[in-house]
Amino acid sequence: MKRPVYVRGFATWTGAGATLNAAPSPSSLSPPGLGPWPEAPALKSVHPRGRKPPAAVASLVQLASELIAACERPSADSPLDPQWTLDRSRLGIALGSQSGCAAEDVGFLEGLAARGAAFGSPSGFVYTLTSAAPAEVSLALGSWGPVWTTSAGATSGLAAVASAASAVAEGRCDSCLCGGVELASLPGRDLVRFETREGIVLLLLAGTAPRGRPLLRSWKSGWDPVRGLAGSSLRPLLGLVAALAGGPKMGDAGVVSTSQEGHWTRVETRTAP
Amino acid sequence: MSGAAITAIGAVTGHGFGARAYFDALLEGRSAIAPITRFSTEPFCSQLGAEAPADERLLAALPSSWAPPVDRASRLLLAAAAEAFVGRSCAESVRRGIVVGTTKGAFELSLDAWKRGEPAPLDPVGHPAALLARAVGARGPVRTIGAACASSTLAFAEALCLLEDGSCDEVVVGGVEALHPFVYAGFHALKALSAQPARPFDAARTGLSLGEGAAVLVLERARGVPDVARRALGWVDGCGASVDSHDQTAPDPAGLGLLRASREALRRANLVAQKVGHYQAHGTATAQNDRMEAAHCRALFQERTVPLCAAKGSIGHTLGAAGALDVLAALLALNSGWLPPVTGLRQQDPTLDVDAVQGKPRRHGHAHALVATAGFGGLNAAVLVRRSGGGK
Repeated sequence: MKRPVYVRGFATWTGAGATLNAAPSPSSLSPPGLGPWPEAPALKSVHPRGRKPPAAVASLVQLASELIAACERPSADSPLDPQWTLDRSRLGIALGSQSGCAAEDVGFLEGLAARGAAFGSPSGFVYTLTSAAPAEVSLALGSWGPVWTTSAGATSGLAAVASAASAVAEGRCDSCLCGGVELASLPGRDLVRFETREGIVLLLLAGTAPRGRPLLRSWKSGWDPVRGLAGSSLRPLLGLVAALAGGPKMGDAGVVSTSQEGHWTRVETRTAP
Repeated sequence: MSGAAITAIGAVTGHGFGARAYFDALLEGRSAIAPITRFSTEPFCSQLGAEAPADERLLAALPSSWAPPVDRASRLLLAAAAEAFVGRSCAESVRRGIVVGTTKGAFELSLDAWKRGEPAPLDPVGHPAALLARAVGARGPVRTIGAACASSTLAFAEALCLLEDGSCDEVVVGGVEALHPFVYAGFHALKALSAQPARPFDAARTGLSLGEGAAVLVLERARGVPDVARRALGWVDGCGASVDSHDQTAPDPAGLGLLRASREALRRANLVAQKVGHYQAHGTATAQNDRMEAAHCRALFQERTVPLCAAKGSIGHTLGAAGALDVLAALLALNSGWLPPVTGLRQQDPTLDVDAVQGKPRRHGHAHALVATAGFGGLNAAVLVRRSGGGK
């Protein structure tokens, strides 16, 4: 039987800095790159394994950890909410990216060029897999649920949310950390044809929540190569977060993401009880 | 979960075109692992791989109405789909979705762009799936799943969700990977490659051999649709996935992560482990993986001895395509009544408590197989496959 899919929390980290369960600034995708986040937890405090991942992956781990911690804290808005402890054994992670691991790919290639084809960096190669970033989050959080990435053009981030919602609704996991990650630049270089600026947008979806929490009312994806429209992977996610942050007065809202190739995904939220 | 019917199959491997060619090679214990011809492997510790047919032959295998792809991964995927779609309609349908598993997709497009000093195109990983959607008239969801070596196994889980939640009546599930010097250099750097052809579960195994290929299986919702059940070549009854939370490259030696995935697949298939007739192993032939899988099998099947098959000694490790090719191998083994031997296995490692099929095919009469894959990052996925006509 299909379960409802609630949004337990959301977080963003863009050029304007980081937000937790709050609306991002309207101009948050400028400037490019991740803005300062003075309150960011030290990586070592949220990732006890000791391995040093690439900076982009470390940022993802920091934001994910803070989002989980925020969701597990008693809510200041709803003091009657019981403190919720996430069951990490049933936590999935689903991230979408259209820029993928471009920075890590180039880093590995440059290492080969500098040192010779036989002397590639083994740790550098590992992070050229799109799944390495969410796997790093699972290492930091100690989660056991399914981990995957979704590529669907510029709809990758919202498609990952739709995929995560299906997974929660169908019981593949009890909760799922999902969203979009676009962190593919190197200083002074454009590695991908990229109109989207960089950032991370995360949502924590769950099959249970206290009364009054927003939920994803519906999600649907399709493909229309005739009417394909170039889009931004992160803007629709920021729109989704803005709708969620608007609270009960937003009522029902929807966001649509499209790609030049023809992907489209639509997600509808309900914030009023 | 009610599972889904497999109603079409197609494959391209180092053994050439066709699911039948692939399975016949497995039955005969033939290996496609040979010195690589398409790029230089001189700097590396191994010169071996299982190469699929040349680009010209891949293009020649496509229907004339399908736009010819420019990258090898897309050519492999469409060549496999060409077999699956013989006699099938490619009329546009919003009820037809695509889910493809791969690790690097059309990565060569990025590399070519960077060589020219240009930015890479967007979403090269998703490019083969997009071309497949155009070719077969899919107008439902089109997604590419990245989960390291478990990519196309997880694609089955995604496909079942799309069928179960009513988004699609039919999902074309694919797995694809093209051999590339970039990936070869990476596995060389990890010291995972064997200088000899891979020998899964063998006492003298020294690592993996890379391969390339693609598999396409069409899944259809069968509940309430008798025609689909009549056309079923087999069934995918359940999928499970997990992460080890152990390490980015090494698997949890106790196999606990893969065990969780397998048990979830069984739970969702409403099947007990005792009903599994054989185990299609990930079987990369690395010391760590094969040991982990032996521990996993012991924990899952307990005192039962379950025959083990593995394809990577025959077609190499095809990374993102491995899961789909393993599901295909399991399906064909179930339907044929024969378990193929593990290619490359000469003397089983005595420390591994498994019953690997060795030397010659083994007759069987069971209906269910468990397919398991494990990837970097500790990602695991398992699929329960049932033969056509096999009741639960």
